[in-house]
Amino acid sequence: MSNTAVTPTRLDDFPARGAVIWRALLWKEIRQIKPLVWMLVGISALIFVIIAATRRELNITLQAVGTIIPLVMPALFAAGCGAILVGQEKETRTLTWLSSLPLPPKYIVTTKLVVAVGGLLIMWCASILLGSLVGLAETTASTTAFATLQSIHPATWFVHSIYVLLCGFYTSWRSRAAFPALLGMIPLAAVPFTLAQLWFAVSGDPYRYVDSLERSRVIAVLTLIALPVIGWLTFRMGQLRLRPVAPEKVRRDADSQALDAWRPPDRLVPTEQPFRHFTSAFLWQAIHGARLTVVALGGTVIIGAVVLWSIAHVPAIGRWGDTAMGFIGLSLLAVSWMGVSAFTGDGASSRLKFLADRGVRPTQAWLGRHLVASCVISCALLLYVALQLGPRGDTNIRVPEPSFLLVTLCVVTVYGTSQWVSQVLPMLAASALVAPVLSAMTLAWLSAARGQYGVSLGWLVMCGTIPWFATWLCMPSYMDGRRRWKFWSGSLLAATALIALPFVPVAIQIRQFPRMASSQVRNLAPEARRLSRDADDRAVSIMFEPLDSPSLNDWMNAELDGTESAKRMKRRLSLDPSDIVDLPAPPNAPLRADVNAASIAIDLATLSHLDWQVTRDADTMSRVVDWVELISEMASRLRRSIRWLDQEVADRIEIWLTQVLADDDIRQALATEEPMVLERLRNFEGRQTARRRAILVSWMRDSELEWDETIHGVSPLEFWFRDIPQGYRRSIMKQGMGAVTSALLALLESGNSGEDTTPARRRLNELIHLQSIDFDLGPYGDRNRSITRRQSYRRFENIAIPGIQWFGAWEYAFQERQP
Amino acid sequence: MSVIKINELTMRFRGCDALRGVDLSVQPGSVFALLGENGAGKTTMIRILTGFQKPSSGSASVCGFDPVRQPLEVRRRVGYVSDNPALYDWMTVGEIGWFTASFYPDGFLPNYRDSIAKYRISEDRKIRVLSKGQRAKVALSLALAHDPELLILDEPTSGLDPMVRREFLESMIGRAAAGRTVFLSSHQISEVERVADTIGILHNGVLSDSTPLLDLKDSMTEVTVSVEDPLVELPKLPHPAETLWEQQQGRQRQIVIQHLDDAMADELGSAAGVLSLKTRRMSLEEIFIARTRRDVGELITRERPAETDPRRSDESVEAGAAS
Repeated sequence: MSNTAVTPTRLDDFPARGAVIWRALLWKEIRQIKPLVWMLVGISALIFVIIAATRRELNITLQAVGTIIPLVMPALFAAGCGAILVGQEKETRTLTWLSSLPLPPKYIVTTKLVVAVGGLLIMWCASILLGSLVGLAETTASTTAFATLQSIHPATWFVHSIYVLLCGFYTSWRSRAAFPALLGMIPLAAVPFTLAQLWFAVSGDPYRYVDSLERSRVIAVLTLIALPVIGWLTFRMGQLRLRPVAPEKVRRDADSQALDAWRPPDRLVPTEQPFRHFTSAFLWQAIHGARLTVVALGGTVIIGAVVLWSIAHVPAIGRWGDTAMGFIGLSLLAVSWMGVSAFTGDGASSRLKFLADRGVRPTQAWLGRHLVASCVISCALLLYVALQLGPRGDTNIRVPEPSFLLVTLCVVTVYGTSQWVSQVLPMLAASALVAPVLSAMTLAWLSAARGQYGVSLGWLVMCGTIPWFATWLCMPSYMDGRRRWKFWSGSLLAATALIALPFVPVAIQIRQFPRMASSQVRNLAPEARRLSRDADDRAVSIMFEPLDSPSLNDWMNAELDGTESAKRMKRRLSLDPSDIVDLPAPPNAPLRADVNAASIAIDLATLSHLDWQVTRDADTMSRVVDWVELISEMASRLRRSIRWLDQEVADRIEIWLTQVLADDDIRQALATEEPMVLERLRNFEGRQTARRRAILVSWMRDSELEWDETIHGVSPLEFWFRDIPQGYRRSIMKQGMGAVTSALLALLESGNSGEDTTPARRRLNELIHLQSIDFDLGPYGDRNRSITRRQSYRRFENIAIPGIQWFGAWEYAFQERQP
Repeated sequence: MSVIKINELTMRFRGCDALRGVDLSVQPGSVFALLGENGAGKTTMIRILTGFQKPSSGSASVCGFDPVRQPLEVRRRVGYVSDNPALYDWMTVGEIGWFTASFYPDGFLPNYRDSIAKYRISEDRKIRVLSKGQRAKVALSLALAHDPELLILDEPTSGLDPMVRREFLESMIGRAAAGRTVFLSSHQISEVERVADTIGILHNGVLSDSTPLLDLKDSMTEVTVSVEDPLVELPKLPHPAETLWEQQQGRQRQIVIQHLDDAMADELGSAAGVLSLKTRRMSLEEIFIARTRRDVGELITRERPAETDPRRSDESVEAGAAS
């Protein structure tokens, strides 16, 4: 260093440099806060992208989390700003260096506040913008699990976020360490809500209903009143902390004498080794390193367990439901921050290096860091179990009680994710903010795996421990302060595992779900393609002609007397079938089933048949024959369809025809006037050919459909696989259709060859997940296939279940061939 | 007028008194070195002088201003480097210079850039990637760039390589020659001896010496006396001579005496039972050790009351003193 280079400066310049000072300080604060803004905006964008990319009906949990993101992100920013701009500067001692410069304290305090408020406004704008882009604004409060949060007006949240920001600054200036500052901010932030509750309790009838607008207004007013108070306190505290530190108040001898008799002796220097095992030493360190933090967080978690139990058992909690839910949320936040404290403070890499230098094994250090938190969480869980096993309380409360495993999953996941975040993000303030958000996301992810994909809770608890393993595996690198590729690749691997592993059982389930054997696919595909190519796609639907007089449609109205009803019925019976049902041209075009029209046609035909049985006159017989001919034509054209559902409708119609033609008179009349009707019923091989073609073409066309594309009656129906969780039901539909196709072909083969069809029908019963119904009593059972039975399954019940009437006795009624 | 003036400065913490009635006056254009063992109160004194800490009692004046009531005025005139300066590690070397220049008059930035260039540190490097020594160089450059009236340095040369250390110390002499004042605390006594005009030794919160270095060294003498019998009692030395430390090994006694003149030495050499007497000028390091180790034995005995058998207390004290 040479003194010759130094140019003398003029001290008189100082007063004129205000603008330069402001500019420099603003630049510094903006640079310091920028990472937090980017991080939160990035996380918000990621969540919004996930929400936008997933279907709403499938990801209810993610949706619910997503709806509060526009509120949570600015709130998190407000809460963390003080910790970043003040707490972190205290920890790194840069604030000391800054205050060694000739800077009035008010400049430092003011610029920090200005930048923080500016950042908060940016966060609000970004949240609103992102929320609007993905359409979260359309979500109504009642559809989410966070209705309470959303019920408060956004303007109130905005005002409150400024208040929270000031609280965060106040506690950060006041507290020496960042973590206690964050803890201290929570009760301060809750002050307007608490005052509002008190206001509603003391102002009039405590049981009166308070709507969300009134609640929002009161909270906003109270927050606005509190704003200048906390602002003044913050400004004052900041200036106080940047001024010379006042000397400690040392006890005078006169003051101490009276108390000394009651005070334990000072033992600052242990005279003998107090601990014989590393566990005890770590326990002592974890407790005494941050006593206040351990007590505050641990107490919140324990009380949270009691509150969680009481919601389902104590009637009085009902009135304070929102408060109770808020406390449970607070308990989860406490669990999260316990996780954050694992690798911050004494758990920071720089401090653990002290242990590493002394040969402490990474596993020991890792256990030591989790010891207290694990004890607290275990105590809370045990307490919850004990309460569950205890007296049941009020059994009239209809609130569902979370199971022990579910609660375990929540705390294991939240703590695990948070401690992982604290190891990856070495900055306390940042990890304290990011950890709760990422924990909520992880929890939502696992909840989706449980709720939508039916993954077992035990497996999810195992997955929730992945972050624990991640920090354990990375501990050697972390303790040595080596955060290089090994550390980051380990973390990345664990993140991938956490995302993927919860869905491994789903992948296994999908893989194990029945499908058509690949050899069979190879054999059948050419035939199916040829049939599909040659199929007549001119399908037309049955037309149901409206009657001239609407009153004729109303002949069975309960308000009509019997005479009028009979009159109307007779007038309907007098109508020709062609006046009611029309089978559109061309006559050889395949017919697409309309179950309602077919059902009405059969009902009217049945009435005509009954009418003939009463009157026995030629006109009535003629009408019956007309009906039978029309219905037979309908069945014949349905058989030409390539949809499996049309074959099922044709089956039901032909069963009816078989029953009607059991009447010798009608059969004889038809043999004379309409011989084709009997011919069609006797065409056993034609029926099987039509079924096989429809099944194969439906299968082929179904397999070529896009993900969300369905053609009713060709694709399988979702209720076939109703036991499969909704989340992946659609993804197994095609392979499920393949398996059903294979089973139906087997049924056809065994029926055609005259073998027993029971095994094939049992297989279908299993595939379509009808295990809950006994096979014999179910749709595929013999009981429902009996030709003599007049109820159930005969007409159009279970029409969407394929092959239940195949090779029933009705198929052999008018031919020599017998089953 | 003194650049630093301290009167009866006392600083009490729970469990210890860091400063106990310290008086000090540092003249302009001098290099003042504050010596003291760990925990002697050096950093506390510097924190008070730089306006970070209010004293329990007493007063201080820096460049004519009270650091408690006028800390800004003090900081405008003082350059301060702590023993482990915490700089914004996300800034580059150039950025921190630009940032700090905003709070000082014109001329800061060119001086800073010259200084950084001499240390061969690239301005576009982040602070976080600098070595400990390079950080110290940046901190020194920041403290010196506004050419402060008073430079306060807490362990300024720790982390610096020998070449830079020598250059830095020589620059301190240059600053003093230019009328600026340097107040430094250091453990590198041999280095301090090369540059310091005035020495203060702070021991157990008390400033025992605040004397020009040459006067201090002239006033201290190590006397080695051979006696006929170990039990021979030496005569008491007249005022102003003061025995700071004495050790006996067999028939030889080693004594550190302040303000011993030739007449006193002759009288001591001719005393009954004295066979021979040798005197030697002491280095600053020897003076410092003589000043501070007098209480080491007492300190050890104070910290181990439970281990000390009351019947053997005298022996223990002697053993501690001997060690």
